[in-house]
Order: sequence, then C-alpha cells, then structure tokens
Amino acid sequence: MIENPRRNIHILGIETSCDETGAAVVRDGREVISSVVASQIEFHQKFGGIVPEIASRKHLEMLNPIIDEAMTKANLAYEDLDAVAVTVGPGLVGALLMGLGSAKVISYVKDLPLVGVNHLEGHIYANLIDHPDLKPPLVSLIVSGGHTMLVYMEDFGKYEVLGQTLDDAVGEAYDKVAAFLGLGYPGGPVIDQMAKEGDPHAIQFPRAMMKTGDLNFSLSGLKTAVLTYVSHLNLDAHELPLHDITASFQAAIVDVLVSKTIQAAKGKNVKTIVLAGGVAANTYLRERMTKETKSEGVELYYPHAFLCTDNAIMVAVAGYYRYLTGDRISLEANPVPNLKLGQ
Amino acid sequence: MLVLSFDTSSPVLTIAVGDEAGIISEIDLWLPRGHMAKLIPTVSGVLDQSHLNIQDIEVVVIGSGPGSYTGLRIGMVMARTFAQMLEVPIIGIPSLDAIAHRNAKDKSLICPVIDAKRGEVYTAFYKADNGKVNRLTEIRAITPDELANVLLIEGYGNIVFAGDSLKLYSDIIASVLGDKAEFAPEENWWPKASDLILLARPRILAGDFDELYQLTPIYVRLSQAEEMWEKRHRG
Repeated sequence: MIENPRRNIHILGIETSCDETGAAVVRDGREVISSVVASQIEFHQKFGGIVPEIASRKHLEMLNPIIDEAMTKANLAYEDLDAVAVTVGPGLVGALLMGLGSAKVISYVKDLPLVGVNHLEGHIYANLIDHPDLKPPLVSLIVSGGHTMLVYMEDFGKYEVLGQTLDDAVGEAYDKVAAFLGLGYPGGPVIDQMAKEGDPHAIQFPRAMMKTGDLNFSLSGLKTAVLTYVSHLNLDAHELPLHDITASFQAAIVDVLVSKTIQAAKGKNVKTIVLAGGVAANTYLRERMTKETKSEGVELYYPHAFLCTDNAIMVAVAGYYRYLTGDRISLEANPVPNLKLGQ
Repeated sequence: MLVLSFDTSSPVLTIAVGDEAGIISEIDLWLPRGHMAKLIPTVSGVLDQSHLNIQDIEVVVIGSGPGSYTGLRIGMVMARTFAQMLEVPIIGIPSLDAIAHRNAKDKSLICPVIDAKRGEVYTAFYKADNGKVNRLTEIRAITPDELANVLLIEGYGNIVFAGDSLKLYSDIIASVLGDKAEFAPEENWWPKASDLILLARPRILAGDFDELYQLTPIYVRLSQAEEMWEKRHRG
C-alpha cells in the first residue's frame, strides 16, 4: 500500500489499443482534468468489425490533435505534468505502436517519466473516478469486445486471473449475434435496448460451463444456438421475434457471468465486486449484478458508461499507481499485444 | 536552421542532423523490426555526436514513404510528435525521392523499386539534372513486368534501378530491358536521412512546410479490407 502520496500529481494518459484514440489528464488518480476520445466506429462499421490497418491509420491521424486538445482543455503546460502513461498492451500491435511512439517522444522531449499501463488494469481502475474510496481486495469481472475474465486484485497492481473465456469474448458474441440478426455493428448497445421489451425466459438458450466448477467461460456454443434457433424458425427477417431472442440470449450470458463472478468473490472471500470494460455498460448485466450481490451481501461497483468503453482516463489512473511505485518503462520499450495481467 | 531527419520506411533506421551548410551527423542501422525500440536512443546518439540538444532542433524532416505500413507509421507518429512537442515545422519528403537522389546519374532515368508485396513494386520515374532529381510521375504500385514494359515502350535509354525489389525482380527487368537496365549496388537501395535533408533544403528556405495534422504517410494503396469492399460495391 502507498500511504499519503504527494498531492497534485498530474498524469497525461494515452490510449490507442483498439479503435478508440484517447488522451486525458488526471490529477491524483481521481480527478479528471480533461479527456478527449475519438471513436473510429464509423470507419469500421461497414466491415462489421475492426479492421486493424484502418485502426492504425486513424490513430496516426487523430492522436496528435487529440493530445493537443486534452492539454489545452486541461489548461496545463507539459512542464506541469508529472508523467506520461500509455497503454502497452494488450491490443492491436499497429494501434499500440501509435500511442507508445508518441508517448516516448513526449517523455524524451519534455523530460517526463514514461509509465506503461496494462489496458485491462485500466478498465478496473476506471472505477476509481466514480468511487474514489474503492479499495482492494476485490474481484473484477472484465467484459469487453476483446476480453472476458475474472480477476482477483489483492492490492493495487497485484492481480490474479481466476478465469477467462475459452473462445469468444462477451462483446464479440454480441457483435456476431447482432450481425446475424441484421442489427448492425456494434452489437452491445442495440441488443441491450431491444432486449428490454423481450422475455428473457422465452427461449432456453444453453448456459455453457455453468456447472464445470471452474471460473472459465465459453460463448461460441451460445452463438451457434442462437443461429440454429433462428434458422429453424424459418421466418422472414421482419417476422423474427427479435425482442425475445435478444432478451433470452442476453439472459443466457448474464446468468453465467453473475453466477461465476459471485462464485469467484466467495472463493477469495472478498466483499467487493467491480465491473469493468465496455460490456459493463450493459444495463441488464448491471441490474442482475446489483440484485444478486445485494442478496449475497457483497458491494458492487461499476463506472459511468463513458468510463466503461476505452478511454485515456483509465490509463492515467492506472498510470498514477505505477508512477507512485516508481514503475517506469524504457524509451526502448515495445508494445506487448498479448500482455497478461500481472506481467 | 537545424534539421532533425529520419526515415523508418525500410529495414534501415536512418537518422541525421544538418543545417543550411550541410549534414552534421548521421547514423544508419540495419534494424528490421527494430525501429520502435531504437529510434529515440539513436536520435539521442546523433545529437550527442553533433554536440546538440533536442531543444536546438528547428525543423523536422520525415521520409514519408512508400514502404512498410507499420514502419512508416512509427516514423510518422514520432516525427509528428517531435514537431508538436518542440513547436517546430515539419516537412515530409517521399522516401522514394531519397533513393532516387542517392542514385542520381545525369542522362539516365532513375527508377527506385521498393517491394510493395502482392507481386508489385512501389515506383516512380526520375530525371537527374546536375545531381538534382526531378520526379516525372506519380508514385504508384505496379508489377515489375508492367514496369519494364512501360519503360521499353517509352524508349528510355539507360535506366538506373535501385531498391529491395531487385532481389526479387532484377531477372524480369533484365529480360525485358537487356543492357538498358543498370542495377545499383545494395548499399544504395535504402533511403538515407542525410538525402532527405538535402532534398528538403529548398522547401526549408522557402518556408514551405507541411500542415502538421494533415501530414500522413504515402501508403499508395487503401487497406486490403477497403480495396475488397470497393471491388464488391463497384456496381
């Protein structure tokens, strides 16, 4: 634990791991001074998913003006910063290179410490903005387009991965099912919305690995089950019971997520559960988690929706803790596309 | 004006510092896939041996391609950030121009050929005049076969070829053009930052700088996903 650190520490965070370009300035790991995020969704939409080459090109175009905007909005000079924090992984290598390349030059020219952040810990730390008193030990469910895992965080910077998906990530399953149902990309928000008017018990989709006893997930079977169910209905697209299908699909996923997250918290004997990642913005997941944690006497935390999706605030917050412990990366560092938590 | 220049479009990481009077210092390293790790230490090394500080730099000149997409972007994002942090102007000079400059030969056509993958080369035609090269065509990607035949039909005399595509395609070129084709030695296949500084000099003197946030690499091609999408949707 770090006791009573110096106040007024300003960290510039930079995030380019996937399809969001972000820069943010955060004070003392809690107070957002400025944040700018440019989403590339419009450029990837017609391909039904993220095209890495396009992502890299867009990061290159957008990053410098975004850094400029974040600094201007913060009304700070580079000399007022204490460090630059940047996502080094996991993510798309070409995308990560853009943030890291830029951060290195800032660090070198402005003589600032360079701090490397794990994108996944960033998602967990995003919770500290809305819940400044949140403290480990805790169990976090990280759910996004690229990740689905349960993490035990014993202390700041100390992680143990308890389980993860063996195939698709949750966000990926949403995208694939949405694409199949003709609902467009990305799938998360539209399925969440559509499911609100459906019956989650209408169709019994499989709850994969519910009884395996471990904390891993598998989502490819569920995706196939939805596809099979729909093709057996033999209906025209406009006749499909979309509300019931999406509600039942979502219920099948959330049942497993809730059950395994609570199992993880019990196993580690912790009283705090934290949701993180883009899918943590899902309203049904939040509702169900709220209900189930309450009956188990566990505290549940999740960030505002804009802090769930990729942003640079979370990078600056995670960078703040690494900065305090003296953790630096060298100007020779390379990105680590498959970086693990705790590595 | 003190210039910092680099190029990361090829396997050679090339970094130079110079001014109006000429090149002060240069380091060239054979570093396939090592540009991200070594760019800053090498910039620092070039500055040290020039007895200069990064804050002394007044212009950034970057080789803008074409070449490896990833390599190009590493150089471009770092050049852009140098210009942004130092608050100095930036100039992009095609890396292909630097290869042509290196191989300039009066009364010859100069034809740099860089591997563009998918059976093609990035190329353009240049004429040299008193050691100064002028680009006659757009930079494009074509097959070596098509390139050699275009040059044959246009009836050029001596043609100097330089670039890593010679490793793959010098036979094809020679079979079409015979002794009209002259192949540069391998040490002259790569862009050099010192040549970029020399090529940028007229623009520096004229104050003809690029718009920092508009400067992007010369990719020549769209991403493969976009190419396929356009093919499918072109009626």
